[in-house]
This record gives sequence, structure tokens and C-alpha cells, in this order.
Amino acid sequence: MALPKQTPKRITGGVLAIVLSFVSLSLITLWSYEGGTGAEANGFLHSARSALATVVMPFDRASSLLGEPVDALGTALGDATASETSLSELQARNDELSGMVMRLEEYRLENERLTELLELSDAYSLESTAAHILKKPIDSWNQTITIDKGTQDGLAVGMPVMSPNGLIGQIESVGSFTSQVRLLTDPNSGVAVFLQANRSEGVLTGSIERLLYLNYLSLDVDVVPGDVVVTSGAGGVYPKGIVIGEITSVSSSPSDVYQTVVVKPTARVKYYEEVLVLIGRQSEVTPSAAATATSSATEGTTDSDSSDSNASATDESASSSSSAQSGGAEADTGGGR
Amino acid sequence: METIQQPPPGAVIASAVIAVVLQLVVAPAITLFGVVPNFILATVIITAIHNGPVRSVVMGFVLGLVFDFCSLGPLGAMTLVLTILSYAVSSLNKGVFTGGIVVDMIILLAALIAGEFLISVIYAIVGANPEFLLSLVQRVLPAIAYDALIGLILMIIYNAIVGDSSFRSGGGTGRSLTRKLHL
Repeated sequence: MALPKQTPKRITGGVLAIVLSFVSLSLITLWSYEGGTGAEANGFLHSARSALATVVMPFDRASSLLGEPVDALGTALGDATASETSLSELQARNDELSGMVMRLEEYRLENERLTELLELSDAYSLESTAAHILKKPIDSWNQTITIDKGTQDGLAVGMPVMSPNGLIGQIESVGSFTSQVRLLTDPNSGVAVFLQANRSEGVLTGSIERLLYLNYLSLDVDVVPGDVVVTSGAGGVYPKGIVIGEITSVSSSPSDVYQTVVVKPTARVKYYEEVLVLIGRQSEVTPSAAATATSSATEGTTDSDSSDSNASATDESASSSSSAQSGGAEADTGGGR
Repeated sequence: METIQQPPPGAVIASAVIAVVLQLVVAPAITLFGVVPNFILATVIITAIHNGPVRSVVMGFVLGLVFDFCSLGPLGAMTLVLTILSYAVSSLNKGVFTGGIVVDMIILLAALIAGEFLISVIYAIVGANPEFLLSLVQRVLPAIAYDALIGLILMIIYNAIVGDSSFRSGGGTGRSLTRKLHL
């Protein structure tokens, strides 16, 4: 008796789509289980993503090379429409000077407190390394940049990243030779801050509009446009005293619990090719170091200026002097643009 | 059931590689107001229009995975969206529409809208898009417009290289769609 012919079963598109959709859902679930978005997330998928960063590094470099002429074209178009002088140059210069004024004000206030209290518990030393920006984000949903340094250079997830004018963001994924930095303007970013003028604390978050919002400032806190916002150091991620930006608008309604405060960042990524990654963290200040710091703080601007000239080209801008301690921001001013 | 003439597998693989290179190298350099064009999404849809479900779904899944691993978003989000979209478009194309370039463009636009919207929904569900309603205006709509422009260019290039008889013979007036739907 002849056996009935058995035709081999073929996988149909529908079955395949269901199976692969299930795999995709499993990936999303596992990714969320590992912590999702954020520097504290850790697990197999996050590690795999970091490892793959090395594979796509040539693409990052190619993108960087391609981005230069495109940026130059954009600048040229902008310049062509400017009336007399280069609008972008003036804007960048204005940002730089504004950031400098804010930092100097921060130094002055800090100096007053240190001199008055003779206490340096909030002083810190910063070790940093400069890195080039390789690539801007590849999708519209994540405001990130890729930089050309990774674990080989001592970088790790969670390290703060700065531009010459202030804080930019935090490393979220690190490969051997590249790292991905989530910018402060990303909706998933958050940093503990206070107002320079009255030390009122709040939490700064990014948004889909690429604006920064200062949250949890109660209605009785005196806030005016122009107030400078700096990191508070709370949470231990970012060192205290790094300039972030200034308040541009304040609003509230009677039913609100908190004020709606919009902050304009002093550091704008599109103006920079290099950033500074803070690889060192707060350290205990010994009595002798404190004395040195106090005396240096009184000479604030002089030390800051002198540090500018020699730190731009060097990776290691760490210093035990208070000029570096009180603001790693200015230590790489020359390497910014 | 009407069957569609599929391009050779080499064309699909080449399309996939080119899409990845464009997304990783070109897209970050041509960002407009924070909106990055999605070459991979457009390519997957165009490929699904011209190919059967199995091939389209595999391509959608693989390119989605590549996209997810190269970005910092929720891992699996784009993979899921591209898998579903590629199956839907290829099935729709096989079963209902056999029109020319105009119908293809309508399918492309509809799929881009669905794709960008689905991504924003998944991002919102996993907590990566805390401002869902605002993102529809600030991100989804501009992204659809930009993707549509990119998709249109890619579709014309794809048709010119891989071949589309109805497009080349001056078709694409939507007559097939009209006939199918008895309009």
C-alpha cells in the first residue's frame, strides 16, 4: 500500500510575523526589566548594545566626516542671510560670555561662603578627559550624541559630560572606543539643581520640545527670569556647582502646586565639536588642601584664566587647585569650538 | 489569488545594507529641527510593497533589530513596529492592491503614519516618551513629513533600479485600485 504523500510544511508570513513579534515584545520586556532608559540600567541587552558600539564605530566616524560639510553648508546659508557679521559666531560668542559671567558669579558667591564659614565640605576635585563628538542621534526620539572615547579611556556609564559653557548630559552607554551621551534636553534626563541666587532646590528635566524645565519649585520661591541654575550635587551623579543655564520664563496658575519654570541651557551641543567627560568624582578635602583652595578662591578669575590656556589640548585637566575644583567647566574652554 | 513578481533576493539584501548605512551615516547629518529621517522605516515599507510577506517580515525584523541596537531607545520597539508593518504592507499589497506608483505612494504614506504613531505609542508605554500628546505634534507629524519626502525619493530610486512595469509604462494612475475596489 502506498503511503500518502506528505508535503513539507512551509512557514507562512503570518506565522513568522507572529513569532517575530513575540520575540520583539520579549526584547522590550527584558529591556524594561533591566532598567530601561537611564544610566543605572544594567543587564545582558544593555551590555550587548554597548558591545555593538564598537562594530558601528566606522559608521560613526563616517557620519562625523559627512556632518562637517553639512554643518558648514548650514552655517554658510545662515551667514548668507545675516546682515553684516556672522550671526552664528556672535551667538556662540554671546553664549560663551554669558556662561563665563554666570561662572564668575558662582565663584564669587562660593568664595563669600567659604571665607565666611571657613568650611570646604562642598569643594571637590575634578578629573576629566576631552572627547570629540562623532555623531548626533540616529532617531528623533532620543537626544543623544556619540563621543570617541570609551572604556579604554577610563569612561564608564553615568559619568557627567560638559561643554566649555556648562553641563551637557550623562554617559548612558559605553563601548570600548565610543560612548553614547544622553543630553540634558532629552525627556528622560533629570538632574538635581538649585538656583544660584537663593539656593532653592529643584529637579531639571528635558522635554520633547528640547527645552529644560525646572520642576518642584513651590509657589512661594522667588524666581525671576535671568536667575542662573547650577547643579546641586544631590544624588551623587553630578558634582555641585556646574552651570546649566538661566531661567527664561516663569509662570503659574492658582491651581498649581509648583511654578512652571523654563531654563535656557548655556551649553548648546550644535556649537561644539569637543566635550569634557568628568572621570573623577568628589574627593575629601584635607585641611591643607582646604587652605590652598581658600587662598586660590580669592584669586578666582586669575586662576581660571590661567587654567584655560593649558587645559584645552590636554586630556587630563585634573588639578588639586580650587580653580579646577570650583568648576571643571572652564578648564577646557579653549577646546570647545 | 494573484501573486506578485518579487525582485531577486540580492536586491533586498542590497536595499537593507544601503538603508542601514544611510541611517547611521547620513541621517544624523541631515537632522531638521530635531527630527531625524527614518531611512530604515521607509526602506522596509518600500521593500514590503514589492515583496512577499516572508521576505518582508524577515527584513523588517532584522533592520528593526539593527536600528534598536544602534540607538538608545527601548530595545525591540522598532523591531516590533517594522515586523508588524512589513507583514501588513506585504499582505495588503499581495491581496488587495496591485496598483502603480500612486497606489504605492498612498500605501507608503499610510504605513509611515502608522509606523511613526506606533513607535510613539510603544515609547509611551515603556515610559520613554513621557509627553505622548505633545510628541504627536512635536515629533510624530514632522517625522511623517520628513519620512514621506525621503520615502518618495527612495521609492523612485528603487523603482528605477529594481524595476516596476506599471511605473515604467506610464501606469500609476490608481486605476488598478479603483478597479479592485469597484469605485
